[in-house]
Amino acid sequence: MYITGWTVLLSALGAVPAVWAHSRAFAWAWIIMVVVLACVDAWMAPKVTALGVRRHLPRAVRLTESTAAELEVANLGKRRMRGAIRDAWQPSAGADETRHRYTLRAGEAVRFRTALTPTRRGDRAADRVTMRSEGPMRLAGRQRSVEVPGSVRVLPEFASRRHLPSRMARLREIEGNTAVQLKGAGSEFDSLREYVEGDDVRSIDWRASARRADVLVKTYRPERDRRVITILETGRTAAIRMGDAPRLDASMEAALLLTALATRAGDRVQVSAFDRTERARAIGVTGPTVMPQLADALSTIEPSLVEPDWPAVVRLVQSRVSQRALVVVLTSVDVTAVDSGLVEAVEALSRKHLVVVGSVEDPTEVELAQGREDVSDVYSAAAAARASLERDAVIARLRQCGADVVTAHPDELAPEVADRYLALKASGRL
Amino acid sequence: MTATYVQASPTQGAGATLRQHPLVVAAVVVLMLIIGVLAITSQPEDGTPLSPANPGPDGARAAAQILGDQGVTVTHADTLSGLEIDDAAHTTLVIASPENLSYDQIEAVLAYPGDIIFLGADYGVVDLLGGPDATASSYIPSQPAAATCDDPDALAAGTVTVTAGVQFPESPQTEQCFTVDGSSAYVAHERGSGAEASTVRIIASAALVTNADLATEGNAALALRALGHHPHVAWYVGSFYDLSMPPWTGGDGDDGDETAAPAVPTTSDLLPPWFMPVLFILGLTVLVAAWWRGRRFGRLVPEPLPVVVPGAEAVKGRARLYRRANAHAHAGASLRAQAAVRIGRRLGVPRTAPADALIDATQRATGRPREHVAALLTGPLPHSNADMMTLIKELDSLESEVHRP
Repeated sequence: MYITGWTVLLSALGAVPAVWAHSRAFAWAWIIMVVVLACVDAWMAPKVTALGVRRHLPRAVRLTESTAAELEVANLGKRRMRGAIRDAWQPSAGADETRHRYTLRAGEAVRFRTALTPTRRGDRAADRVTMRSEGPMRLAGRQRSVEVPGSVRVLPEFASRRHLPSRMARLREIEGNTAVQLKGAGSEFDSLREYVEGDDVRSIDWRASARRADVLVKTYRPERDRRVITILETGRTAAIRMGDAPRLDASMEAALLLTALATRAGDRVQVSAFDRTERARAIGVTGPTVMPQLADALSTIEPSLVEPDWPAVVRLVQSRVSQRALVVVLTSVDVTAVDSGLVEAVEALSRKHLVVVGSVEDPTEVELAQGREDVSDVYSAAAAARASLERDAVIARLRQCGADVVTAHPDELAPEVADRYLALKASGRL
Repeated sequence: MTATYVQASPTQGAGATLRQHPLVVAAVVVLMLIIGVLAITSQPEDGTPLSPANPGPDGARAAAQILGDQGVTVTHADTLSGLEIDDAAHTTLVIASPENLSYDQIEAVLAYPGDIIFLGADYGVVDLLGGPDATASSYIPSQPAAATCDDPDALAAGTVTVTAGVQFPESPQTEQCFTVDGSSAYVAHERGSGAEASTVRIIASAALVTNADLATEGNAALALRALGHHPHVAWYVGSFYDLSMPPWTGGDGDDGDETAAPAVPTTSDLLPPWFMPVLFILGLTVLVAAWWRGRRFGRLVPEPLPVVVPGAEAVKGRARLYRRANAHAHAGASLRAQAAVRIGRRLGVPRTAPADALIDATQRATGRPREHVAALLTGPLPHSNADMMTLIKELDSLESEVHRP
């Protein structure tokens, strides 16, 4: 049972006759009368069980974008019903107006839209639906809450997709230009075509030219169908805030951009989120279905407060691919990488594969390194300098192992990794 | 859409719920019976000392009841203005705890034409009756004392317990009894003459009227005789919160005009009569509004929160350690190494190159004297915080010069 503002107004109106009544007993009598009226009204209200609700939910929405969750309410009883309904969502679902008033005749149904603007990645669940049925005097009514399960999957933002057009242009450039001007840029034979002025004479295929009247040149293109394995480390360091988002988000952006780019370049991409076990993966698909599958797989990943198991990562990569592949490890490189086994893992992977380590730089640390105000600032700068030196040493060791290391600000990591991929592709090292 | 509607499951009727929990129902019924019985049988407890309705050790219900058994009607007034006295000549006015009353109120009380008994030693009363020489001592070690006077009530009592006393100057109108160290536990003061004659009695040791002490020594005799001079007793216990005046104040003073309105009204009398009921109904409305707002439209929805790990925690911790240890040498070394790495990177000097190579390259890039550059990059480490500040400043300026093409 609940009461409405009208009940409060009615009880306040008792002050008017109280001016003449002059007695406390009258006040009690009035309030008791109002409460009894409200109870009678609630008793007369149609039962809430007559209402049926069901959800119509969008399957997924990208973070920062809005969507609408629909709730269909039907009056399955025999009486006209009036009241309100609350479609509750968890706070991070960003529901703006969850309360809706309804008036339904018997058998009627209505749909309410609750706009959702999620503020966090992952599955955002709907809570109970609370239904109110008002009594005929509108003083009070019945109220019940019922579980109506439902959730909306919030996909990663993929803010770095704005870098995709420029990288795609660069990719086309590599693919188109290599045949004509640069002999060394792709290594895979593409086709034969007629010689035009300006072509490198060294690319003339004399054997083919001999069979025909024309002079033919070989054209090359960058290798296709290479394997790209992205390891997204979701361990302890993934939870650290870099700016306002966890490090994992920056790594995820890099994984998304790299996958989008590599898929269009014709490579086969696998993504694996790993700490001590595999948290999520996107493998075995090609073409336009890759990105939705990857976004879906990544959306529910949260950092877990454990140390990543790097030897297991090596075993995972070895079990997934047999031939040479590009292994992109997205983590954060710091001095603890020596103990945690990252260096050994990279060393082991580099024996067979091409390894790129993508590490996020902490903007807070960069800021601390520039402090010069007073003594304590300079001590902070010294500590940051020390951390930076230690990291440099680790990076140098990783490079000695044969890996490529990319360090960048959280916003810059995705384009940097993509650029490194394009550079490797252009130089035919894949 | 093939999904079916979700409906709230019908709740059990109230009767069915009650039948499922007979023990709870029985417990509630028994509890309500007990509460009901208690509510009917028990009177509201009166804890005011010397109140005729207080059954506790410091109350005076025993005395009031004995008086009632002897045919004396005892009426209890909550306020001075609430004293209703029809016949002053046959009514004893009892003022307990006069120390809680203001001087004006005592003056007004003394204007009462009939007999008055004060229970308690109070300076105001003593002052008004006995003049400036009279005093009151509110505490005397408890001890029995014999009546040493001619007052018949005191003589009948013989000995009473003295716990407080008053001292009046000698005068024919004043009879002082049960004197200990000059203070008397009981004083009878005659005033007026002829038909208007009346007696003001002060039982300074008010404890002898209480339920606890009434039975000891001759306390009961003194108390009951003093209180029972007339067939009616109007009993009033002084209270700080009572600002009212007795009803006879508005009259001529000594002719017993009890029906006159009080001169000073109580606080509630200052307001219009409808004010309190309206305020009361609005107060109840606030409770109704609290119910209205307090009923949630569905529960609060919990949010599973992610772990938040602030960035650069290790760096900040190390900075605090440096600061606490005043590790200026260590910090200076770090800053210098970092500056050297950056300069080297800019000038294309590999990390593994000897220091001399870097110094030479820096000297060429900046045009600074070689010793200066060498002192900065490989010289002694700072010995104080001030040294460290100077070092970082100079390293910064050296680095900015390397920036230049």
